[in-house]
Amino acid sequence: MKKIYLMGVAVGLLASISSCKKSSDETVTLSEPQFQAGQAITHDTLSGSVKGTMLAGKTYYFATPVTVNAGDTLVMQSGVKLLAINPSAQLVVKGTFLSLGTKASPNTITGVTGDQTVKSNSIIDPSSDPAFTAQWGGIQCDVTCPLLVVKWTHLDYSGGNVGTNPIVGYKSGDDLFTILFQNPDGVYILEDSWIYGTTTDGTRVKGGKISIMRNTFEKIAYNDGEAVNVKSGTVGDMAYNMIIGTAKNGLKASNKGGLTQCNVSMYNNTMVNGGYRSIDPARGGSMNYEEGAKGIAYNNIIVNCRYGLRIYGTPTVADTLHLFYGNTLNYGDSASVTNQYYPVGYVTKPMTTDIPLPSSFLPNPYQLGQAYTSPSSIIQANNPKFVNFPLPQNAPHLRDVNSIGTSNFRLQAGSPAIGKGNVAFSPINSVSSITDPFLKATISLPNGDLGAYPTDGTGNQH
Amino acid sequence: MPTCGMRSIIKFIILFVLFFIVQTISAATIQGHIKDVETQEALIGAIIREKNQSHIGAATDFDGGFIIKNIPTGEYTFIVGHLGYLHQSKSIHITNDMNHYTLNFYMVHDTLTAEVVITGSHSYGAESDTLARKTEQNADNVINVVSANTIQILPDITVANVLQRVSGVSIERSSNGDGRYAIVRGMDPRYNYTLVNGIKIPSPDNKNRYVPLDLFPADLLERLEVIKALTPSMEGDAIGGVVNMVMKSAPYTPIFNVNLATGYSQMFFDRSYSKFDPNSIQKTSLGEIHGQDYQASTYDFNYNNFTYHNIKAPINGIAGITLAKRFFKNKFGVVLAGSYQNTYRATNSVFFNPNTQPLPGNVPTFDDIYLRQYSTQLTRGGVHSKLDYQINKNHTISLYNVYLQMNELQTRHTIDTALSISRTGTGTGNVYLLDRSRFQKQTIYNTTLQGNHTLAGTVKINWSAVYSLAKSNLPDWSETSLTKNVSKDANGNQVITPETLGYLPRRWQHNSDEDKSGYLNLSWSPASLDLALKKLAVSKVELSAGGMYRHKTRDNYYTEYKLTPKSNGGIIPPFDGAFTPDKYLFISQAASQGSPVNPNTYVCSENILAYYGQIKFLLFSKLQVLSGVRIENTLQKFETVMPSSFAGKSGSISYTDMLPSLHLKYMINSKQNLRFSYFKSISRPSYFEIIPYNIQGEYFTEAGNPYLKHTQAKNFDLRYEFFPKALDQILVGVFYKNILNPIEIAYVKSGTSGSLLQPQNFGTATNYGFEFVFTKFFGKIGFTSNYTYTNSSITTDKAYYYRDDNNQLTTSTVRQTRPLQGQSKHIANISLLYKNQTKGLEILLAYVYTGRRIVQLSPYKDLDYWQKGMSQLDFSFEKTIKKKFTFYAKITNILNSPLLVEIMQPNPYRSGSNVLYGQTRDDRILVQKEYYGQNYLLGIRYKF
Repeated sequence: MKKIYLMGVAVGLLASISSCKKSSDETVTLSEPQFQAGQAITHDTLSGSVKGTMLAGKTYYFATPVTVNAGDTLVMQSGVKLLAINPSAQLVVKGTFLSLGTKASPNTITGVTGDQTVKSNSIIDPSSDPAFTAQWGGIQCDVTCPLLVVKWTHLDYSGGNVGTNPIVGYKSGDDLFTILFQNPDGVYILEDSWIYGTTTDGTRVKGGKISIMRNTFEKIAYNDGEAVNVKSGTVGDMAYNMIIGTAKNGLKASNKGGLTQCNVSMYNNTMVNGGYRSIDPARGGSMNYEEGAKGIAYNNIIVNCRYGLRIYGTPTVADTLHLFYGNTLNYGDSASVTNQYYPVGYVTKPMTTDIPLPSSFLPNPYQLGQAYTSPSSIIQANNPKFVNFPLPQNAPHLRDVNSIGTSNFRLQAGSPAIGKGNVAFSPINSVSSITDPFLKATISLPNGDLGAYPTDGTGNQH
Repeated sequence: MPTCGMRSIIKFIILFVLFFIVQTISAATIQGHIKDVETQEALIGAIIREKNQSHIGAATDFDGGFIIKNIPTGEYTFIVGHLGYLHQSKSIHITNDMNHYTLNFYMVHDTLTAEVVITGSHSYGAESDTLARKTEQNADNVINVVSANTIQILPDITVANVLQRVSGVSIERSSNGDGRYAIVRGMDPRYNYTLVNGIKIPSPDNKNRYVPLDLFPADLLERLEVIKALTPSMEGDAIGGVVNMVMKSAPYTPIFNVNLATGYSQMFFDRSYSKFDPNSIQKTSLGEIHGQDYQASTYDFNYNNFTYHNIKAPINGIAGITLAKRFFKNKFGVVLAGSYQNTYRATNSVFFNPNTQPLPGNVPTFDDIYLRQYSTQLTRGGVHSKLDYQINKNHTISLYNVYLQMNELQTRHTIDTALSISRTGTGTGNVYLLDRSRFQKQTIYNTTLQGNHTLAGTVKINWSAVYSLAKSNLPDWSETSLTKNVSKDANGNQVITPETLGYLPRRWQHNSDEDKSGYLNLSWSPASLDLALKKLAVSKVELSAGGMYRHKTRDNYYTEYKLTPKSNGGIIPPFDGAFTPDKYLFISQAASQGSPVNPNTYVCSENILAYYGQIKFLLFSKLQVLSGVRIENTLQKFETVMPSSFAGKSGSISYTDMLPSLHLKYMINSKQNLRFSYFKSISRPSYFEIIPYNIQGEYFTEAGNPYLKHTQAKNFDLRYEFFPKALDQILVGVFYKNILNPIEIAYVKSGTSGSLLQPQNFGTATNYGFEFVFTKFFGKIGFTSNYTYTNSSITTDKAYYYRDDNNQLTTSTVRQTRPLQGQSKHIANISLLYKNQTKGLEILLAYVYTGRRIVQLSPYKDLDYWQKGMSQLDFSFEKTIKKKFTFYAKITNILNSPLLVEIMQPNPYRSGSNVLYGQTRDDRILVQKEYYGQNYLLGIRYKF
């Protein structure tokens, strides 16, 4: 730990030097320092228990579950590839795991097959889509894991089933989350990363101080799972995430389990085509607050999702007294979408800051959760004008498009999402205890524009 | 329903009264009694008949009285015969002068036959009520006995159901409504153990020690004993009590009995029995056939177990046979008995599923309503044999074998209405149609080789070599699921989505429990010692010592395959009505391998070495003192299949207990006893509880606890016994138990980082109560009753979910005091028996009341599930024709009493948008309501 600290100081100094170059014309390129903990890992295949540093730019392999023991640290410097040669390969983290990719040199954890597969941009039946083939078993953090940092990392083709390898946090027969974090006192930072193709939830948090920002989620869950699903004991922010093609919700919060109350802010996220692959009907499509969860949800764009923001009423009521939300842009190609902007059977309050203006289409009087028929005027209205994603959608079904491919969800000029954001709140920033510049979270503040890609370029960098 | 039940009761009462009144009056009548010459006790069921005209005769009633009517004038010689007594005859001259004669007999013991009756040193029928009462009176400790004769007339066909008639005992039912486990004096099944002929038997249960008592057909028993105080020679791990099933043995008269019966379950007249083909169940898991790494395909599974056939009113069948004979001058005895029961049982149930986590302030909230119909076919088979050889007066050996099997074939159809998913009112939201097919085979085998030896007249040696094996196999447990969503559009029109498939879990689970044990008991009752102690007014001194060793191995296997419905173009297609392999897939390679590596797969062993010393003597010829101490060494080991990185992959636990006891019996006179008992006893954690497993639940992690301490208890009993006549009985007793480290599964919160449900020890619990048994026979009417009051108290940790001062929803740990799970404050039995020996008629109306009790514990304060007080009325009828044939009828659950489960909290669900139907009270919330219907049985017994 001391070593980490010293490294951190050195890095801080370098960072301050490099930032003093404004006045001259020289272009200075310095080699980026790398974070290291323990010994460098020089052999190329990981197995058993591992610790130390996987060196920048190297490719490593694993075929079985590998364990980072409690008290140990495993680091992936930037540009590292970790490839699974068997689906039972997974990372079991009882200590600390740090994947420190950079924008220039992101890291990748995937299967050897997945590494060679070109991600198709065409419509594929999920039953034959390689995205759902689970080529490795994810990052499974035990209750003892104090810190998980995943930055600029591709996590592709992950998931599977507990199968013959029992892990704390699952029961036999459970499908595996791509990242499980379950230490309410621990810190979990997931930033600027990509999760592509999962068996079930992209990440499940059963307690933790979290910052989940500027990530891209595609093809989440074959037919049962959310991009981000957090339970009791979880406190933190989920912002600037681009989420497309989830089986169920994009973001979900529940206080199941009775630990520290689940308190999460969900702001400036863009969610597209969520909720259509769900194994059973009516299991969400964009964002859910359930069973005692509280927090805030502002500045989100929800496009063609099966349901809008759902706030649960009885019997599994969210902490509605401490839930604040609004400035949501809803867009729907058809009435089946627009009729669920305020999902029927729930208690989501329409907000005057929402787009479209609720009073422009809801019956008057309107009871929370009542069924309504949206007028044709709001169908296909308020197109957020993405740079490259034609709306109404150019595909047979909304569910058919579940990855980004060549699309671009940045906002064109004149988008109704521009300038409609609420900036009068602060992120929870529950991860401020991590101050090391290599490791600490970069908190993006709420923006005056809606969605994950505000026009000032401060949001999602993908 | 209730009015129908009431009408039935009235009918039966009228029937009863009628039999009372209809007594024909005639001219020449002989009346008298038959008694034991020594004790003056009435002999019940003794036969009197005329020497040459056997149709003139009678049998004695409960008072030992008989009456023979309509006798023409003439000379008669009447012969009286009764098992264990010498025949006696008397002559009488009937004239026209008199029409009323008296004839009394005082019977003398047949010492010769008494000696060869192997079952004990008694001269009563081994299966008689008289012996049962005698056993209670003469026992060294506190005990209740049910005789085979009583069992025969009882409406019950399994041992579990018979047990509910015993004072201080109530039963826990299985989902088919039949009793399964016994709760003795409010103590959960874990605090009791089960014996067959005094030998402890292992359980086919996958986790627990206690034995499902519905496995035992009642007709194999000679008598059933419930022992409530332990002597040093008994195994020390019972705090509630011990159930001892004494199986039929060979008496000196040959036996050939056959029993056949048939019947119906009322509910299957009202709805069909839903059956699937048991042959469609794959008995062995794919992983066990092909190896653990085998990657299954959905085509490897059978889907015919989801094809259900409706059968209207299937016929129950029961058969039993007992053969017994002694050979070689009565030296060699053989008894062979078999029992077969094939019964169909129905359960209709509604269950409001409480959400695990309540609303803040621990207000219960409900997430689903389950409407369930169970169709269960129970096939029980039991065979037992006993061979005994009496080498000479001093040496006998016996070989006992028993094999019991119960197959349970069960269909469960569920309509599950989700209350939390897009519900806008009654009839909307997600609806799940669940069909579960379940087949379980449980077996118990026991063989015991036993020897009894008397040396030099004063030393007795008794040894047993025992092998037992209990097994359970629950293959291919699976439940299909179909989902649809019902909603209403803005115009109120109903919109229903097509039914689509949900997950299909398939589980294989089996376990076995093997015991190898040896017992040795020695006792020495030297006359010299008696002589030496005569001055101290001590007599009948008996010194005993002995020991036992048992090596147990237990093996559990569990695997689960989760089949995921296959989508087509991203959605699951509408269901076409057939469950077929092409509609499912394994979502990953790991999923196709099942999950055989899990905490439920484990091996464990247990070695118990126990030994004891005991002294018994009589003080002032009145006070029997029995005292001694037992030492039990326990060594438990377990080995799981978890990876070596798992803390507690294997482990062992050992401890030693010293268990003293003192039993005093003050014999006030030949009919009255006053007893006092003190004994220390233990209860061991279940095999599974001590394994450091973790099973992830949605809300809590269920965890094992290797640091769990075994429970230790100090038990006190005081009982007054009065046996005024052979069958009459008054027992009044009180008991007190101080229970250290009782084991309860409770909520554990450790810091902010974990909440577990874990078996834990909770300080000291207490349990005290009062038992009252009253049995009185008036001529042909017998009245049997018992009442038990139990008051136990335990304080455990519970969760309290609330909003704190900072407006945070949080959970804290609070303590709550409550009764032990399963304890009813009041339990009672009342039965009325009409018995006319002459007419060969017996009618029984039996009533059982089980008071309110906790049936399931909630991790949350105040939210335990309570079963409402429940009454059950049963009826039984027997008529003997031509002495050898007996017709009988049994009707159980006449009132169709529902099982009601409630949460004892204010009910916010009687009105408003969250209304739950069937809620009738403001002060409690109905959670479950279950009906089982009446069961009818009509049979015939043939006694050679």
